[in-house]
Amino acid sequence: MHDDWSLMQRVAEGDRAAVAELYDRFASLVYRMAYQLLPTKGDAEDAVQEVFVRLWQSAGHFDPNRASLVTWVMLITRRYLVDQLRRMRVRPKFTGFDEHWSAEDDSIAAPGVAMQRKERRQRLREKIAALPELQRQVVERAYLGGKTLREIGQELNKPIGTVKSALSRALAVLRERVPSEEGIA
Amino acid sequence: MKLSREELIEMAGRDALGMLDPDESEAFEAAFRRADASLRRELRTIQDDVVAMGELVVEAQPDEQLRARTLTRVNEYMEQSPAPTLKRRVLGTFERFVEEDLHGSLQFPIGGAAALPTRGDWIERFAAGRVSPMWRIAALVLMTVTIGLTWFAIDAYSNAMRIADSISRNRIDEMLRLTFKQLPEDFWFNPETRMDAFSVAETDFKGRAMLSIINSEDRGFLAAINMPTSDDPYRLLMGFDQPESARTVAVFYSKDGTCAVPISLGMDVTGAKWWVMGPSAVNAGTETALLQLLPDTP
Repeated sequence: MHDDWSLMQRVAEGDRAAVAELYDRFASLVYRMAYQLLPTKGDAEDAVQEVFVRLWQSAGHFDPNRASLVTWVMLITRRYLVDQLRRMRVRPKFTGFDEHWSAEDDSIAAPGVAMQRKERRQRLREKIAALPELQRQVVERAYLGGKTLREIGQELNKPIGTVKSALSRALAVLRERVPSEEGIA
Repeated sequence: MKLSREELIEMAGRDALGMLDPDESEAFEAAFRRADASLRRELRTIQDDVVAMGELVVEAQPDEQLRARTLTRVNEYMEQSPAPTLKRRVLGTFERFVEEDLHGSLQFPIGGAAALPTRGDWIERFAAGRVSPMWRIAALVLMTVTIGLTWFAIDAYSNAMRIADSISRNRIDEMLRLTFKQLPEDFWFNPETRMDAFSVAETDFKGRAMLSIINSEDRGFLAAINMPTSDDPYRLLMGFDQPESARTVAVFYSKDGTCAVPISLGMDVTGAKWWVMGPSAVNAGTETALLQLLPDTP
């Protein structure tokens, strides 16, 4: 936690080596998220650059008590991507989780960590696959589609309240089985 | 906006998904900062778990050239723009001690890249007029309400004191009125009525008192002028030796220096002396004889 905070302080101070370290740790994650949502590879690459500018701009305000660094990076990334999607008014490359299971490269991680990640991803996949249809559709559209509650409701022809509670129940179910982990990038 | 625990938990998930409206996001952040440590941990866990779904997205790796382009882009921003305002802190003993606490000044902005100001910054920004109209209006409303409530509290307290004082004085007035009414018609002109001069110890009061004793009826009357006014009662004592061994025959109040006291003797006071004892001396613990009426009795 302290190391993450130190890293972000160095980034905020304009330490180029720290920015490079931040990129090496999270670029893959940010890129995959961008590539998942945005229409083209070029859009995804532009997004990566913009996200890292934003990470530098707000690095001094990173608080490890508020969120882990990986969560913080992903929150900022998601918000940027969702904003971009809405600004671009394009349909995201959304299909479904089961078509996007990634065989991630854990070769650079320590064997124990890699094993934990693998098990965690497997549990998450199973859990999402076991969700009731509506909850699964809502989660997929919210996460992979970057859609608002209203948009999801319109797509599924469901009231916003129904969509909201389905999302809430789905996230609660996923939480029960998915322990949090830091440093997953 | 007051958010329940359940609402916060629900919003934490949507926040992690980037689905909160700006207003919701602001309310969520404010509630997060106010939440207790256990709730904050729960909210953090929810967000960690939601963003963990990021591991399940498509497999894709950025080009090696993207690294150089991104670092160049960030460097360009660094050179063009001043360094972001840092709220420096040292993760020392205090920070470790309050590790589970959240400082508003250390929050990163959920809604965008712009930094949320610290508490100290708010004052500077407000003074410099760089706070949004909504916050300015809220601050003015809060100040107005605070001043209004303070004024109301002072006014209410003042009124309460006035009413209490008025009630007390009215009660004394009524007692005096009734007492004077009880005085015999010839009290003031009866040759049996003794009129004595008196002085008040350690003061400039020079008063006169009229005492009429009707032994056959076991009662009497006392009227006096130029008595020190007090909200506490005086006592009229009669006895044959010292005040300490005398008997209280009347308890009465002085209003504007005047008092009128009906006396119930309950004993033969022929040859007795009389004293008027003043209100209890503050912090003295014993009563002080303020009035030394002439001891000569009929």
